[in-house]
Amino acid sequence: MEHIHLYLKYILGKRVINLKRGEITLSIGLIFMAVYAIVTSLHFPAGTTDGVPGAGYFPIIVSCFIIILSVIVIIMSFIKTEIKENIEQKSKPNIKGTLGTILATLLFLILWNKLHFIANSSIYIIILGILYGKKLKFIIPLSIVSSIIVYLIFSNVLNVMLTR
Amino acid sequence: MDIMNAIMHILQPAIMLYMLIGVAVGAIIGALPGLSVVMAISILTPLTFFLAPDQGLAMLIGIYNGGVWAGGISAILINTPGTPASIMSTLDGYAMTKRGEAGLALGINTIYSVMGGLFSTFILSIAAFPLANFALRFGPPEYFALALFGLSMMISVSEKSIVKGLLVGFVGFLISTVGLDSMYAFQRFTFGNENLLTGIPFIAVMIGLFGAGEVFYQVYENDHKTMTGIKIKIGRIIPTFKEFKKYGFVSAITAVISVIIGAIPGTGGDIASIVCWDTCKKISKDSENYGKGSAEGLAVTCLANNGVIGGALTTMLTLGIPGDAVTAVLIGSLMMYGLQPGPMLFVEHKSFVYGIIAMMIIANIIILVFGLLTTKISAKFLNLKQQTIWIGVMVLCVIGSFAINNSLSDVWIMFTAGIFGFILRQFDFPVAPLILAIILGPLAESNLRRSLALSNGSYSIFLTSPIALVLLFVTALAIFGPILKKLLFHKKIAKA
Repeated sequence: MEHIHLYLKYILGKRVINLKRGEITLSIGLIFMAVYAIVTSLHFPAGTTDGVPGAGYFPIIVSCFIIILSVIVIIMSFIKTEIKENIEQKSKPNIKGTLGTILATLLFLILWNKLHFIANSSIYIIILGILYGKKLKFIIPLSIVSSIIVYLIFSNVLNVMLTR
Repeated sequence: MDIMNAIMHILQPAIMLYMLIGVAVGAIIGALPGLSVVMAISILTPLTFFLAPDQGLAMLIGIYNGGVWAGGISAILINTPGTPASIMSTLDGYAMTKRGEAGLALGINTIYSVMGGLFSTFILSIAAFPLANFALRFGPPEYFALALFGLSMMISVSEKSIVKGLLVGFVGFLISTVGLDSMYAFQRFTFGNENLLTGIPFIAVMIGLFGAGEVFYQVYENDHKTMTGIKIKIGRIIPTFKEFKKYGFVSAITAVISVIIGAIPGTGGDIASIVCWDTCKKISKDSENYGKGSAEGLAVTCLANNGVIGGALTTMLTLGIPGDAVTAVLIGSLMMYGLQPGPMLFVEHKSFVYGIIAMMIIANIIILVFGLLTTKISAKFLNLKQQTIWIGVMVLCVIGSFAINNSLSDVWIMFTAGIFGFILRQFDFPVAPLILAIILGPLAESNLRRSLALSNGSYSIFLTSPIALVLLFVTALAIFGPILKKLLFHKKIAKA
């Protein structure tokens, strides 16, 4: 049985994905979530004497299944010995791009009520454009024009209350 | 007569316009690899709420049919399926393109997709009402069993690991308990946040999982394909009468199989096209050319793709159970219009059901005309760079989720769901059971509790109902069957 944790590495353009560590981490996280749900549900109103289940009945049952299945996934991860290789993968994973996209989106949401939509959206599109390798001379005018068009369509035609 | 009245109603200019827009949008999204019909419907559903229900639904039906049809365009031209249902179209379609018959391949894609769509609509029109009458006999135990059955089919048929699928499904059930309890009106897991009193909005989760999450995944995988600079010879588009006659028998077989597969919850065009292609290869006189540029092979896969739609809609409308991921999203859309799919829909909103049938007929006719007219320019769709698509999708995800309730909290939910969906995909956990469980969770919980209330807390109520018993048995078979099969297979290998 192989209990050694695998590390991310790149072999001749191929990539070995650390599925085991990810599965185990996610499953442990779900176990904690389920335990919290059970503890909280125990304080919900109980059922009636004629058999109507209480408000905590369904969350508790579902959480128990989550715990059982998570434990099975963890056990199966330890038993699994083969390594998953993504042989179609010819390029490195774009960690910077992904994190950048997530952080840019986070910034967009934080600034949502602080800036006008057109300014906020333009900044967001410019950041994404830079992350994805677009040239500034194209992305800046494109971001402003597209943000204005989106704002006009959504605010005036569809009555979506975008920030002013 | 009711269908004729419905068709006359749908032929209003406003509804026709939105259906045409839907077909065009569906065609662009379906043709572009990396965008899926599920993503399109998830992101655009909130925007249709600003239209009249008929207009909004016409657009969504147009996107659904158009997207599935157009998935074959990139499969044929650049050997990359635009949608999962078009995977099999790459085998024969791309080979025909290399032979200089791209036009004929695209023509077959259009004509046979429409044939599949129209045949499955015909089945929908004759099977839906009897099935709905049967489903009127369903009570709480049957509905609880049906909810579990729907979820189990999607897990067992679509995904590699059943345990992971079940785990994600139960996480979805837990998420569906957030908000006010339906029986006691007690706040569950709201953390004092009034935005969560009505529960986690599944449309925001849908947009996050299938929109933003998909973009995060594609950016991470650095996966972008374009066909810039590739010249394609189109040639003739319409098959000859002799060719139509030649493919008649396999087309009939494919039409029937695909409708049945579409009706089974959890299966979609990808499974239908594989099963139909394989079956027709075995019975065809041209079997040696299948996979090497056989026009007959391409006709079969294209017919199967759109042939599932009617079957999936039949299950969705009559039982309230999604036939595939797209109908899972459509259920959510219908609920936002105040329409609950299920047998009561056929009693309280009969004209609406006829309206859906009429929309399906008209949408397919629009695809036929639109598809044949735009064959020569369809290659230009694929010049769009993936990075541009990513930016557009992310902006639409944010605005689309905001537009649900004009609330920033929905956007935060979408963002969180997007990150969660990305993590699930990275570690090989399926995503579709999560959204399906969020939709089916309230149905399962309320009917489970009602059943126990009826039986004074006894679980035997599920065993005394024949329909519930059969559904629970099939559910158990769907979940444990593949696991047992795998264990027996490993045992056999070990013995050998």
